[in-house]
Amino acid sequence: MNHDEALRALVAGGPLSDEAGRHVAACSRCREEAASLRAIEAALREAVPEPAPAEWQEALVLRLGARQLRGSERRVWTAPWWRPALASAALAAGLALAWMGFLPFQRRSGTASAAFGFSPPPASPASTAREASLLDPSLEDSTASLLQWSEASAAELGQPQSGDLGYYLAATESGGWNG
Amino acid sequence: MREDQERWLEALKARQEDAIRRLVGEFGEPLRRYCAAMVRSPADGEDLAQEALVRFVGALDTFRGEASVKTYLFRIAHNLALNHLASSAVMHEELPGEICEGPSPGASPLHAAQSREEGHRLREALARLPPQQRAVVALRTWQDLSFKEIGAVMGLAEGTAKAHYFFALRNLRRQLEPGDEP
Repeated sequence: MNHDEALRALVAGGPLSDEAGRHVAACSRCREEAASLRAIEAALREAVPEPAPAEWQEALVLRLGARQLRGSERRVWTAPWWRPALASAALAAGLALAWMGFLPFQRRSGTASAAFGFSPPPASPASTAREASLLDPSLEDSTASLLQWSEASAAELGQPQSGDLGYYLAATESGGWNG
Repeated sequence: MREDQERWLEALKARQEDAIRRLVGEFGEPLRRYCAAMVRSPADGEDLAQEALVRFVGALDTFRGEASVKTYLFRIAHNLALNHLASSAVMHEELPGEICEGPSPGASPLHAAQSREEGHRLREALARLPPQQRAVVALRTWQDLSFKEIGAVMGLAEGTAKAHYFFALRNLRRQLEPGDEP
Protein backbone atom coordinates (compact mmCIF):
# COMPACT_ATOMS: atom_id res chain seq x y z
CA MET A 1 0.00 0.00 0.00
CA ASN A 2 1.40 3.38 -0.95
CA HIS A 3 1.22 6.60 1.00
CA ASP A 4 -1.85 8.04 -0.75
CA GLU A 5 -3.89 4.90 -0.35
CA ALA A 6 -3.16 4.75 3.34
CA LEU A 7 -3.86 8.45 3.73
CA ARG A 8 -7.16 8.17 1.87
CA ALA A 9 -8.21 5.36 4.16
CA LEU A 10 -7.24 7.44 7.19
CA VAL A 11 -9.19 10.51 6.04
CA ALA A 12 -12.26 8.49 5.12
CA GLY A 13 -12.46 7.25 8.68
CA GLY A 14 -13.63 3.85 9.73
CA PRO A 15 -11.45 0.87 10.49
CA LEU A 16 -8.16 0.60 8.61
CA SER A 17 -7.18 -2.57 6.86
CA ASP A 18 -4.22 -4.43 8.32
CA GLU A 19 -2.03 -3.24 5.48
CA ALA A 20 -3.03 0.40 5.88
CA GLY A 21 -2.59 0.14 9.62
CA ARG A 22 0.97 -1.14 9.21
CA HIS A 23 1.78 1.69 6.78
CA VAL A 24 0.41 4.39 9.04
CA ALA A 25 2.24 2.97 12.02
CA ALA A 26 5.51 3.21 10.15
CA CYS A 27 5.02 6.52 8.27
CA SER A 28 5.22 9.75 10.25
CA ARG A 29 4.62 11.85 7.14
CA CYS A 30 1.36 10.03 6.59
CA ARG A 31 0.23 10.71 10.14
CA GLU A 32 1.15 14.40 9.91
CA GLU A 33 -0.71 14.89 6.68
CA ALA A 34 -3.75 13.05 7.96
CA ALA A 35 -3.74 15.35 10.98
CA SER A 36 -3.59 18.45 8.79
CA LEU A 37 -6.44 17.23 6.58
CA ARG A 38 -8.53 16.41 9.61
CA ALA A 39 -7.91 19.90 10.93
CA ILE A 40 -9.24 21.33 7.69
CA GLU A 41 -12.22 19.03 7.98
CA ALA A 42 -12.88 20.31 11.51
CA ALA A 43 -12.54 23.92 10.36
CA LEU A 44 -15.02 23.26 7.55
CA ARG A 45 -17.56 21.92 10.01
CA GLU A 46 -17.25 25.22 11.88
CA ALA A 47 -17.49 27.30 8.72
CA VAL A 48 -21.20 26.71 8.18
CA PRO A 49 -22.73 29.62 6.25
CA GLU A 50 -25.19 31.96 7.88
CA PRO A 51 -28.74 30.61 7.84
CA ALA A 52 -31.34 32.13 5.58
CA PRO A 53 -33.75 34.67 7.10
CA ALA A 54 -36.84 33.23 8.73
CA GLU A 55 -38.97 34.87 6.04
CA TRP A 56 -37.49 32.54 3.49
CA GLN A 57 -38.72 29.50 5.37
CA GLU A 58 -42.15 31.05 5.83
CA ALA A 59 -42.38 31.80 2.13
CA LEU A 60 -41.36 28.22 1.45
CA VAL A 61 -44.08 26.87 3.72
CA LEU A 62 -46.60 29.02 1.89
CA ARG A 63 -45.43 27.87 -1.49
CA LEU A 64 -45.51 24.22 -0.54
CA GLY A 65 -48.90 24.60 1.09
CA ALA A 66 -50.23 26.88 -1.58
CA ARG A 67 -52.73 24.32 -2.84
CA GLN A 68 -54.36 24.08 0.57
CA LEU A 69 -54.34 27.83 1.21
CA ARG A 70 -55.79 28.65 -2.19
CA GLY A 71 -58.39 25.97 -1.62
CA SER A 72 -59.51 27.45 1.66
CA GLU A 73 -59.65 30.91 0.15
CA ARG A 74 -61.73 29.56 -2.67
CA ARG A 75 -64.09 27.89 -0.20
CA VAL A 76 -64.63 31.19 1.59
CA TRP A 77 -65.38 33.15 -1.53
CA THR A 78 -67.48 30.60 -3.34
CA ALA A 79 -69.50 29.32 -0.39
CA PRO A 80 -73.15 29.03 -1.55
CA TRP A 81 -74.56 31.49 0.98
CA TRP A 82 -72.26 34.21 -0.28
CA ARG A 83 -73.51 34.12 -3.81
CA PRO A 84 -77.06 35.42 -3.28
CA ALA A 85 -75.83 37.91 -0.68
CA LEU A 86 -73.23 39.29 -3.07
CA ALA A 87 -75.69 39.37 -5.94
CA SER A 88 -78.31 41.15 -3.82
CA ALA A 89 -75.82 43.71 -2.58
CA ALA A 90 -74.60 44.40 -6.10
CA LEU A 91 -78.17 44.72 -7.41
CA ALA A 92 -79.18 47.05 -4.58
CA ALA A 93 -76.11 49.22 -5.10
CA GLY A 94 -76.76 49.38 -8.83
CA LEU A 95 -80.41 50.33 -8.37
CA ALA A 96 -79.54 52.98 -5.80
CA LEU A 97 -76.95 54.52 -8.08
CA ALA A 98 -79.29 54.48 -11.03
CA TRP A 99 -82.05 56.04 -8.97
CA MET A 100 -79.80 58.76 -7.58
CA GLY A 101 -78.55 59.61 -11.02
CA PHE A 102 -81.90 59.40 -12.78
CA LEU A 103 -84.03 61.62 -10.53
CA PRO A 104 -82.18 64.93 -10.93
CA PHE A 105 -81.96 64.30 -14.65
CA GLN A 106 -85.70 63.70 -14.90
CA ARG A 107 -86.57 66.79 -12.91
CA ARG A 108 -84.18 69.16 -14.58
CA SER A 109 -84.74 68.31 -18.21
CA GLY A 110 -88.19 66.83 -18.22
CA THR A 111 -87.12 64.80 -21.21
CA ALA A 112 -86.26 61.60 -19.47
CA SER A 113 -89.80 60.28 -19.61
CA ALA A 114 -89.94 60.94 -23.31
CA ALA A 115 -86.64 59.31 -23.80
CA PHE A 116 -87.77 56.18 -21.94
CA GLY A 117 -91.17 56.12 -23.63
CA PHE A 118 -93.56 56.66 -20.74
CA SER A 119 -95.53 59.59 -19.31
CA PRO A 120 -95.27 60.63 -15.70
CA PRO A 121 -98.47 60.83 -13.57
CA PRO A 122 -99.82 64.34 -12.96
CA ALA A 123 -97.90 66.03 -10.19
CA SER A 124 -99.69 66.70 -6.94
CA PRO A 125 -99.27 70.10 -5.24
CA ALA A 126 -97.27 68.40 -2.49
CA SER A 127 -94.90 66.79 -4.87
CA THR A 128 -94.47 70.01 -6.83
CA ALA A 129 -93.52 71.82 -3.63
CA ARG A 130 -91.19 68.94 -2.76
CA GLU A 131 -89.46 69.11 -6.10
CA ALA A 132 -89.11 72.84 -5.79
CA SER A 133 -87.39 72.34 -2.48
CA LEU A 134 -85.00 69.86 -4.05
CA LEU A 135 -83.93 72.48 -6.53
CA ASP A 136 -83.22 74.91 -3.70
CA PRO A 137 -79.52 75.73 -3.97
CA SER A 138 -79.30 75.97 -0.22
CA LEU A 139 -79.54 72.16 -0.06
CA GLU A 140 -76.02 71.31 -1.02
CA ASP A 141 -75.92 67.79 0.23
CA SER A 142 -77.61 65.41 -2.21
CA THR A 143 -78.03 62.84 0.54
CA ALA A 144 -80.00 65.36 2.57
CA SER A 145 -82.08 66.10 -0.50
CA LEU A 146 -82.90 62.49 -1.04
CA LEU A 147 -83.79 61.98 2.58
CA GLN A 148 -86.07 64.98 2.45
CA TRP A 149 -87.70 63.72 -0.71
CA SER A 150 -88.18 60.29 0.80
CA GLU A 151 -89.81 61.68 3.93
CA ALA A 152 -92.14 63.84 1.89
CA SER A 153 -93.15 60.90 -0.28
CA ALA A 154 -93.93 58.81 2.77
CA ALA A 155 -96.07 61.61 4.22
CA GLU A 156 -97.93 61.96 0.96
CA LEU A 157 -98.72 58.24 0.89
CA GLY A 158 -99.86 58.28 4.51
CA GLN A 159 -97.10 56.02 5.79
CA PRO A 160 -95.30 56.55 9.07
CA GLN A 161 -92.01 58.35 8.74
CA SER A 162 -88.67 57.08 9.86
CA GLY A 163 -88.51 59.47 12.80
CA ASP A 164 -91.75 58.14 14.26
CA LEU A 165 -91.88 55.51 16.94
CA GLY A 166 -95.06 54.31 15.25
CA TYR A 167 -93.10 53.63 12.12
CA TYR A 168 -90.89 51.16 13.95
CA LEU A 169 -93.74 49.57 15.89
CA ALA A 170 -95.95 49.19 12.85
CA ALA A 171 -93.12 47.58 10.96
CA THR A 172 -92.17 45.11 13.68
CA GLU A 173 -95.75 44.14 14.48
CA SER A 174 -96.63 43.49 10.90
CA GLY A 175 -93.38 41.66 10.24
CA GLY A 176 -92.28 44.09 7.54
CA TRP A 177 -91.38 47.69 7.05
CA ASN A 178 -94.33 48.35 4.79
CA GLY A 179 -96.95 47.23 7.30
CA MET B 1 -40.38 2.77 6.16
CA ARG B 2 -41.20 3.71 9.72
CA GLU B 3 -44.81 4.18 10.62
CA ASP B 4 -44.21 7.73 11.76
CA GLN B 5 -42.60 8.60 8.47
CA GLU B 6 -45.43 7.02 6.53
CA ARG B 7 -47.95 9.13 8.39
CA TRP B 8 -45.86 12.22 7.78
CA LEU B 9 -45.59 11.50 4.07
CA GLU B 10 -49.32 10.94 3.84
CA ALA B 11 -49.89 14.27 5.57
CA LEU B 12 -47.46 15.87 3.14
CA LYS B 13 -49.40 14.51 0.21
CA ALA B 14 -52.49 16.12 1.69
CA ARG B 15 -50.50 19.37 2.06
CA GLN B 16 -51.19 19.51 5.77
CA GLU B 17 -49.49 22.53 7.24
CA ASP B 18 -47.81 20.72 10.13
CA ALA B 19 -46.26 18.22 7.77
CA ILE B 20 -45.03 20.95 5.46
CA ARG B 21 -43.55 22.88 8.37
CA ARG B 22 -41.72 19.76 9.50
CA LEU B 23 -40.32 19.24 6.01
CA VAL B 24 -39.16 22.84 5.71
CA GLY B 25 -37.82 22.94 9.26
CA GLU B 26 -35.85 19.75 8.88
CA PHE B 27 -34.54 20.09 5.35
CA GLY B 28 -35.05 23.66 4.14
CA GLU B 29 -31.91 25.18 5.59
CA PRO B 30 -29.58 22.20 4.90
CA LEU B 31 -30.74 22.10 1.30
CA ARG B 32 -30.34 25.85 0.91
CA ARG B 33 -26.84 25.67 2.35
CA TYR B 34 -25.90 22.80 0.09
CA CYS B 35 -27.31 24.39 -3.05
CA ALA B 36 -25.72 27.75 -2.26
CA ALA B 37 -22.34 26.07 -1.86
CA MET B 38 -22.78 24.17 -5.07
CA VAL B 39 -23.83 27.10 -7.25
CA ARG B 40 -21.84 29.65 -5.24
CA SER B 41 -24.74 32.03 -4.93
CA PRO B 42 -26.96 32.37 -1.86
CA ALA B 43 -29.89 33.66 -3.91
CA ASP B 44 -29.70 30.85 -6.44
CA GLY B 45 -29.22 28.42 -3.57
CA GLU B 46 -32.50 29.56 -2.06
CA ASP B 47 -34.29 29.11 -5.36
CA LEU B 48 -32.85 25.68 -5.96
CA ALA B 49 -33.58 24.45 -2.45
CA GLN B 50 -37.14 25.64 -2.84
CA GLU B 51 -37.41 23.92 -6.19
CA ALA B 52 -36.04 20.69 -4.72
CA LEU B 53 -38.68 20.69 -2.00
CA VAL B 54 -41.46 21.53 -4.42
CA ARG B 55 -40.40 18.67 -6.68
CA PHE B 56 -40.14 16.30 -3.77
CA VAL B 57 -43.65 17.10 -2.59
CA GLY B 58 -44.92 16.90 -6.15
CA ALA B 59 -43.35 13.47 -6.65
CA LEU B 60 -44.38 11.93 -3.34
CA ASP B 61 -46.56 9.39 -5.08
CA THR B 62 -43.48 7.90 -6.68
CA PHE B 63 -41.39 7.89 -3.49
CA ARG B 64 -41.16 4.29 -2.32
CA GLY B 65 -38.97 4.82 0.71
CA GLU B 66 -36.06 2.80 -0.67
CA ALA B 67 -33.76 5.71 0.04
CA SER B 68 -34.12 7.96 3.04
CA VAL B 69 -36.02 11.19 2.56
CA LYS B 70 -32.79 13.08 3.23
CA THR B 71 -30.85 11.21 0.55
CA TYR B 72 -33.71 11.54 -1.90
CA LEU B 73 -34.03 15.26 -1.32
CA PHE B 74 -30.32 15.89 -1.63
CA ARG B 75 -30.23 13.89 -4.82
CA ILE B 76 -32.91 16.13 -6.30
CA ALA B 77 -31.03 19.19 -5.08
CA HIS B 78 -27.73 17.87 -6.41
CA ASN B 79 -29.17 17.29 -9.87
CA LEU B 80 -30.80 20.72 -9.88
CA ALA B 81 -27.50 22.30 -8.87
CA LEU B 82 -25.59 20.46 -11.59
CA ASN B 83 -28.17 21.50 -14.17
CA HIS B 84 -27.88 25.07 -12.97
CA LEU B 85 -24.11 24.96 -13.27
CA ALA B 86 -24.31 23.38 -16.69
CA SER B 87 -26.66 26.06 -17.92
CA SER B 88 -24.51 28.90 -16.69
CA ALA B 89 -20.95 29.92 -17.28
CA VAL B 90 -19.76 29.21 -13.77
CA MET B 91 -18.58 25.75 -14.77
CA HIS B 92 -15.66 27.33 -16.57
CA GLU B 93 -14.21 29.05 -13.55
CA GLU B 94 -13.22 25.88 -11.77
CA LEU B 95 -9.80 24.98 -10.59
CA PRO B 96 -8.24 21.98 -12.27
CA GLY B 97 -9.81 18.72 -11.09
CA GLU B 98 -8.47 16.30 -8.55
CA ILE B 99 -4.91 16.58 -9.67
CA CYS B 100 -2.80 17.22 -6.64
CA GLU B 101 0.87 17.26 -6.61
CA GLY B 102 2.93 15.78 -3.84
CA PRO B 103 1.71 16.17 -0.30
CA SER B 104 2.85 19.15 1.63
CA PRO B 105 2.65 18.22 5.27
CA GLY B 106 2.42 20.85 7.92
CA ALA B 107 -0.48 22.43 9.69
CA SER B 108 0.52 26.09 9.58
CA PRO B 109 -2.63 27.36 7.81
CA LEU B 110 -4.87 25.48 10.12
CA HIS B 111 -4.63 27.47 13.30
CA ALA B 112 -5.93 30.57 11.60
CA ALA B 113 -8.71 28.58 9.97
CA GLN B 114 -10.47 28.44 13.32
CA SER B 115 -11.34 32.11 13.24
CA ARG B 116 -14.36 33.57 11.55
CA GLU B 117 -12.30 35.27 8.91
CA GLU B 118 -10.68 32.02 8.12
CA GLY B 119 -14.07 30.40 8.00
CA HIS B 120 -14.99 32.84 5.28
CA ARG B 121 -11.74 32.13 3.50
CA LEU B 122 -12.40 28.45 3.79
CA ARG B 123 -15.83 28.80 2.21
CA GLU B 124 -14.28 30.81 -0.60
CA ALA B 125 -11.74 28.06 -1.12
CA LEU B 126 -14.53 25.53 -1.12
CA ALA B 127 -16.30 27.54 -3.80
CA ARG B 128 -13.27 27.19 -6.04
CA LEU B 129 -13.26 23.41 -5.91
CA PRO B 130 -14.67 21.41 -8.80
CA PRO B 131 -18.39 20.65 -8.35
CA GLN B 132 -17.93 16.98 -7.45
CA GLN B 133 -15.44 17.80 -4.72
CA ARG B 134 -17.54 20.69 -3.51
CA ALA B 135 -20.55 18.44 -3.29
CA VAL B 136 -18.75 15.73 -1.36
CA VAL B 137 -17.29 18.19 1.12
CA ALA B 138 -20.58 19.97 1.69
CA LEU B 139 -22.47 16.72 2.15
CA ARG B 140 -19.86 15.25 4.44
CA THR B 141 -19.02 18.19 6.67
CA TRP B 142 -22.28 20.15 6.75
CA GLN B 143 -24.82 17.36 6.39
CA ASP B 144 -22.91 14.60 8.08
CA LEU B 145 -23.81 12.06 5.41
CA SER B 146 -21.90 8.81 5.24
CA PHE B 147 -19.87 8.11 2.12
CA LYS B 148 -22.45 5.52 1.16
CA GLU B 149 -25.20 8.15 1.36
CA ILE B 150 -23.04 10.64 -0.50
CA GLY B 151 -22.55 8.04 -3.22
CA ALA B 152 -26.32 7.58 -3.41
CA VAL B 153 -26.89 11.32 -3.67
CA MET B 154 -24.29 11.82 -6.36
CA GLY B 155 -24.74 8.56 -8.21
CA LEU B 156 -21.23 7.40 -7.36
CA ALA B 157 -19.66 4.37 -5.81
CA GLU B 158 -18.79 4.76 -2.15
CA GLY B 159 -15.07 4.49 -2.90
CA THR B 160 -15.30 7.23 -5.51
CA ALA B 161 -16.99 9.51 -3.03
CA LYS B 162 -14.15 8.87 -0.57
CA ALA B 163 -11.58 9.67 -3.23
CA HIS B 164 -13.32 12.92 -4.12
CA TYR B 165 -13.33 13.86 -0.46
CA PHE B 166 -9.66 13.14 -0.01
CA PHE B 167 -8.64 15.19 -3.04
CA ALA B 168 -10.98 17.98 -2.02
CA LEU B 169 -9.32 18.28 1.39
CA ARG B 170 -5.93 18.32 -0.24
CA ASN B 171 -7.01 21.02 -2.67
CA LEU B 172 -8.36 23.09 0.18
CA ARG B 173 -5.15 22.75 2.12
CA ARG B 174 -3.16 23.91 -0.87
CA GLN B 175 -5.39 26.93 -1.29
CA LEU B 176 -5.12 27.85 2.37
CA GLU B 177 -1.39 27.68 2.60
CA PRO B 178 0.32 31.01 3.17
CA GLY B 179 1.44 32.71 -0.01
CA ASP B 180 -1.17 30.85 -2.04
CA GLU B 181 -3.85 33.52 -1.92
CA PRO B 182 -6.36 33.21 -4.73
